[in-house]
Amino acid sequence: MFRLLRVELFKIFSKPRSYIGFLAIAAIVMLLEIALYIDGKSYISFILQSLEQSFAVQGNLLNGYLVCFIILQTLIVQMPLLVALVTGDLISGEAASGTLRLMLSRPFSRTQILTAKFAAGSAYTFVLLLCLGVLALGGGVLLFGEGDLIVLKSDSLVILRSNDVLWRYMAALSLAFVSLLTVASFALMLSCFTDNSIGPIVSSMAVIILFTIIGTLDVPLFDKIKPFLFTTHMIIWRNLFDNPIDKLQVYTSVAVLIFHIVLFYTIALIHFNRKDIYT
Amino acid sequence: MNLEVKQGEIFGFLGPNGAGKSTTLRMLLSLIKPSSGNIQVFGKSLLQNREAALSNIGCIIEKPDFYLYMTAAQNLKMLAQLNDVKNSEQRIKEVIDLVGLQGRQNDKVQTYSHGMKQRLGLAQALLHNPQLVILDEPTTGLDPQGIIELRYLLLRLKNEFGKTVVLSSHILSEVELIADSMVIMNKGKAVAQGSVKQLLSTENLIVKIETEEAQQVRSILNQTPFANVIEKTEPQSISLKLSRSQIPELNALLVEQNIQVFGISYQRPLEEYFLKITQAGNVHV
Repeated sequence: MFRLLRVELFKIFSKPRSYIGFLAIAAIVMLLEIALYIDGKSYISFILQSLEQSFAVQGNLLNGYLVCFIILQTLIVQMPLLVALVTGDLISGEAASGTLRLMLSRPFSRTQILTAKFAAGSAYTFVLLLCLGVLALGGGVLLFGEGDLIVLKSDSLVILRSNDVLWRYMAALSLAFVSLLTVASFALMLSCFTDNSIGPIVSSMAVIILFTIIGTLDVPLFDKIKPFLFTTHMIIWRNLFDNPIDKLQVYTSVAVLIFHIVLFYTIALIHFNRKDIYT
Repeated sequence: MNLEVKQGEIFGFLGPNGAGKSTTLRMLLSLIKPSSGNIQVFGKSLLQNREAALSNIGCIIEKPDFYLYMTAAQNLKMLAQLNDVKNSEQRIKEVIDLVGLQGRQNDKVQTYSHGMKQRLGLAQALLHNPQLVILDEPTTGLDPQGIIELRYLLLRLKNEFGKTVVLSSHILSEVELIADSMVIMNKGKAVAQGSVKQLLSTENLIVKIETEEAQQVRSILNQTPFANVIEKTEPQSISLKLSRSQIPELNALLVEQNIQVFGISYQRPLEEYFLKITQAGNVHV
């Protein structure tokens, strides 16, 4: 099993496509940080326009923690795409190129092969997220320094002391990892059902966008199904920047996401074990 | 279908396109599950003991498969890891040398010609030193020189390394040249099976004499023991069922009778049968 995992990781990190994610994250994060470094003050005053009517805001709110929060909010759509780009290709890409035959004719069970692929996809997701965390948080703190974090919500304002922020980011990135694993398992599941690599990637994104739209629309009919959509729970990391944190909501969302991961992986496993390879 | 391949032989798997050769080979590698029945490889059930059964098989199914973005050496290294090959660097060098790809192992596979890919595919199949090598239509797309080289390599595998090779093809002459025994498949069933010598024996040949004096030849032959073996008389040819050793006698008779003969050719019964079943596929024999 460990041999399989090493091979799968080697394959992922030998493929040029896998680096698109790192390049995209680096480009977006650096662009945002440079833009905020040059023109951050006017951006902050634009955001605080409505707030200044009720509050007197003094001092420099633009610090590394806020910059990181802004970046994480911005990358909420891109990250699933970058994860699906690699995990949606894990089975179908190999089926399309014929190398799946090569893998499946080796003395490993299909369950072992799929598990190794999922583990390698998860490791890739983790590294991608780590890269985002280091660039956004590390780069932000390096360029803008530390300070209290002010999070502006639609109906409230949360002020977090600087010594109370770092653990929240660690926890938020961990929750984001669970969210992205849901995307990875979903893309992997779709990848088992087709023999071309574009289909699962596009389908994963289409489903995420559709569910996100349903999640944001205030239609009573949609309100009933929102709790069952995994995308509703993917943004739970934001709740960690509430004060106090609604722990029950966080635990519920984590449970729902884990349930989806297990569900998608089980469906993938059942189908993959039954699949006849004709390509 | 019940197939039995002897250890250390080259076994031809012959049949027209769509006969079920690739499907059968895919079942041998557990890529496709059989609807019923059992497959045993080296006495181990593929359904119950898949890993053990597959560990002794190297294969190329349909076409050799590679990770094109990697070099040949990287592909082999990765496969060596998968197969837990000991002294992998040494073994990779050995198989690269065996298939004649030395000097090109650090090039990306996407820069390889079809023939080179075929050779690299063979290197992949042999890397873990399997006892059984399964090759599905390995000569497809190769030029004549490439086909000869592959044939030579397969004979080396059998003679020098004692490998058992199962080779599928839709070309009878190709299998005849190197295989020890073979099976002919049609519509998913084995229609003939045995040693190549036995199946393609030169007894009971259909001998065809091309002449413009077919009726006269028939009259002459009617007065000889050949009268009993005449199969068919056409305006410009006459066919007889003979053994190969009888052809010189027939030839001498025609020369003696001053018959103008433009050609004497023969076809073995199995060839004739194979031609019939492959006609739909327009396959060369």
